[in-house]
Amino acid sequence: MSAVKDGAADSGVAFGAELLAFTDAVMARKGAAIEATRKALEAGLGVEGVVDTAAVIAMFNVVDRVADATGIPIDDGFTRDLRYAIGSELGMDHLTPEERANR
Amino acid sequence: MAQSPTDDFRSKLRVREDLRLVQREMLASFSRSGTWWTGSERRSIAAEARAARDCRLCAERKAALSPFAVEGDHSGPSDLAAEIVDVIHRVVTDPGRLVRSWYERVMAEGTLSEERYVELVSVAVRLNALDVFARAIGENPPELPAAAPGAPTEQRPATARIDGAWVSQIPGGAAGGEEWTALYGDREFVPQIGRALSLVPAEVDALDALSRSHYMSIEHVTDPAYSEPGRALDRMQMELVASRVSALNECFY
Repeated sequence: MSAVKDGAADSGVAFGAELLAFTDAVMARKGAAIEATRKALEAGLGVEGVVDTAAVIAMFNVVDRVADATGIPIDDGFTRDLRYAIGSELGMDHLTPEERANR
Repeated sequence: MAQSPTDDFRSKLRVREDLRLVQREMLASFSRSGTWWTGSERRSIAAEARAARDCRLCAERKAALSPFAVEGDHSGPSDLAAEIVDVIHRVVTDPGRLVRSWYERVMAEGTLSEERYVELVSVAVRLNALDVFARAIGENPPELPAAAPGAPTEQRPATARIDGAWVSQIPGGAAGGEEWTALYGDREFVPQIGRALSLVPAEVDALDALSRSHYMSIEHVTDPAYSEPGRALDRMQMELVASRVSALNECFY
């Protein structure tokens, strides 16, 4: 989980370091870093892997904003438990849906 | 002259056709009239969403302890009302610090109805997705087509009500009736992200089309064992990227 937070730790996922480095570069909008990390990711997962990674990055920029702008709650059950467990483990200090609803 | 890494990558680039088709349709839809906005207005929302990324005021707010403590004018091309421009910029550049009291102030100002707010959010964030994808694969942001004529349909679901989110949604089960079935078929459970835009059903369809081609159909999202066929990434790799994006966006979902 710490890989998700700081992007540097070993995620245990195949080509995880390359995926995270590319994701960070795209999110930071740094052209040179995007090119360098894209090349490394392509070496591991091919052009199709780069395209599908770009697609997931794009999609979650939508999901996050739709969720935050409409104020939806976290779904009950497994998803809710997982989200709060991850948030606690990672020490994520951004606002929970409940905090955002009460401010 | 030596070929740049981007040129080299683009010479090999092959984008899945289903993904390209959805992106082309999405781009065209930004300039067509929707449910609550005209094509011209939707195009302006999309253009403003694109400009928000380089807005100085938004950068100052992002760096501030509170995003509501910094006043000023946004930089952007739009002829939309200042209150609407502000909503677009905040949703694009600092969504993780939006709070309910802010949303309620926006509604109280009266410039936006909740229906227009929901459609605005959908257009702004999906334009942002197109630009993020283009940046990632080394392409320029796609040009917005000219606005098409036409009037919004202005059809609000009769069953829509506040049901846990800030905005109204079509409720599940019998309360949602035919409006629920028209959107979700016989599914009894739909994740909140699939219901978030249901006040404007056309935007739910657009979001699901985007999700199917870029990630997976929303109905499969809560099944951790599901993997979308034909993808170069397995589910673990997808979720690693998705989680990192959400962490960087300071999004709890």
